[in-house]
Amino acid sequence: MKKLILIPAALVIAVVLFFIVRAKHEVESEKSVNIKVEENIVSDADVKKEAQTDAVDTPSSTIFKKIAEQAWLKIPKKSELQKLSSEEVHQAPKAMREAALVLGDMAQLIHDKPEYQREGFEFYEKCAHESEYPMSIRAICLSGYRKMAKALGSETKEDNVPQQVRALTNRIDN
Amino acid sequence: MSEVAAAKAIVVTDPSRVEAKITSDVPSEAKALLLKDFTRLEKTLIKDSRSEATKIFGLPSINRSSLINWLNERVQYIVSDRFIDMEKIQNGILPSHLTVLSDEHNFENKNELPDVLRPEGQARSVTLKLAENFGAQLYLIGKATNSLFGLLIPGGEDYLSVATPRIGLLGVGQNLFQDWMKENIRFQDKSLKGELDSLLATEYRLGIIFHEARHSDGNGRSLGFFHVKCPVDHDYAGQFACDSSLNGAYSIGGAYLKLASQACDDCSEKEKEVLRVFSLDAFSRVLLSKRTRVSEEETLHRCEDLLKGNQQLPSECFYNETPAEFWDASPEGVRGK
Repeated sequence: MKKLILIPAALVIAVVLFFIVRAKHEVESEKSVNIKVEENIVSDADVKKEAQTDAVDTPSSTIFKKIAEQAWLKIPKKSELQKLSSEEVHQAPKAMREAALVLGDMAQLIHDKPEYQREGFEFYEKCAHESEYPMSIRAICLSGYRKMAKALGSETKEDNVPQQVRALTNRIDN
Repeated sequence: MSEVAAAKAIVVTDPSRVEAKITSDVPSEAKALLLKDFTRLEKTLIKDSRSEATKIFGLPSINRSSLINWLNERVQYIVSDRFIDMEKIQNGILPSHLTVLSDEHNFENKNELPDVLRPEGQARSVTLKLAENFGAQLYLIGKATNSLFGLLIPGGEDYLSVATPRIGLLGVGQNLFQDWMKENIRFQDKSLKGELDSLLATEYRLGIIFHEARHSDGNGRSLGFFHVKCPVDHDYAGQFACDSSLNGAYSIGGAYLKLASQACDDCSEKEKEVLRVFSLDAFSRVLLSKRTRVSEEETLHRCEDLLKGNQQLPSECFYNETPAEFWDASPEGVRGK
């Protein structure tokens, strides 16, 4: 009889323990997500806030600098890509996707605030000429460099940009 | 119990909707996302009359219907990536849902295999983790071992005969869905993008589905359009993450993402730019020429003068370069039927 009571009691305790452990795990997962969000120095909200501001305080304002800094930080080097596993590189790897998001922030900001075209021109020029960067990143930067140059009535210097990168840019822009 | 169903030789599809069957082993959340992705494809007004995309897809014109039809011909079933353990099958261990229907099947181009299986191809892994084309891999293994496989799809009653790479069986992994969820937490900022939160994730997945669909094509050496090792100076040097044809899976994925970025009326500048980077990443893996090493004797012959001058030798001294080509994509096993 005692046994009959003990077995369901043990089951109830086990179920309760399971839910406690799971709840704790969920709280911890949430924490890690929150930490991750905080790590994204430039948030979409930042970009939006900046886009809504009427005046640009200085020629090189904080938000542009923030995005540029983030971009230099996030863009992977070729040598880093080459260390990834075959599974990771079968499609655009995480490092590329993160870099793409920051470059997207850059494109959005310049689109919303054409006042940043000069800074954009300089950023894209430097990025397109960086030989350590993957071809796709250099190609998107070259595309931006050309766009900024056109908007500003400037010329681009592409002599030191490899033909493969120029061909990729032509491919995405045409 | 089961009878053998013939592989569909000619697929008649409804070009207004994606017809791939998502089987019961795919988790319901993933299934819901895939269906949402397909709905987006069905609603996006993609149009392109330029030669690049039409040549890559092998279509006379690119529009929503022609693209959906193209996909329907190549993707029949989407299963969980756990459905098949390709490594075990390569080692001759077959799961209960896979059987050998015949070891006397008359495979087309019997003695012609893609480089990926040739000794000099050095290839081992043709698998991937976000998604993979099981159909093409099973057909290739079957052909290489002279075994016609029969496959019981989850929820199916009959064995499907794997007599063509066009069986169109794609496996999708959890990473295809979770990765973006975790990384794109910032896109869940409702104040900014509302219902567009997962637009990039959707287009990214569709790009992968189109990429995988291309592996359902090819014959002889082009069979499966399997990837090749990226050369030493490439971003992904040493990995099987490049294509040596101009219309392989990376070209398809890149072309789709480019089309998607151009057709995306509801995309922000940021989203368009991100899709363009993804497209470029795919295009950058298409090798525009193939290098083959020449003999030492040939190097001496070619660059004798430079060698005498003790100068650094250019790559022309060591390699022959042949331009890449568009491969014949017509699939084995169903041609002429």
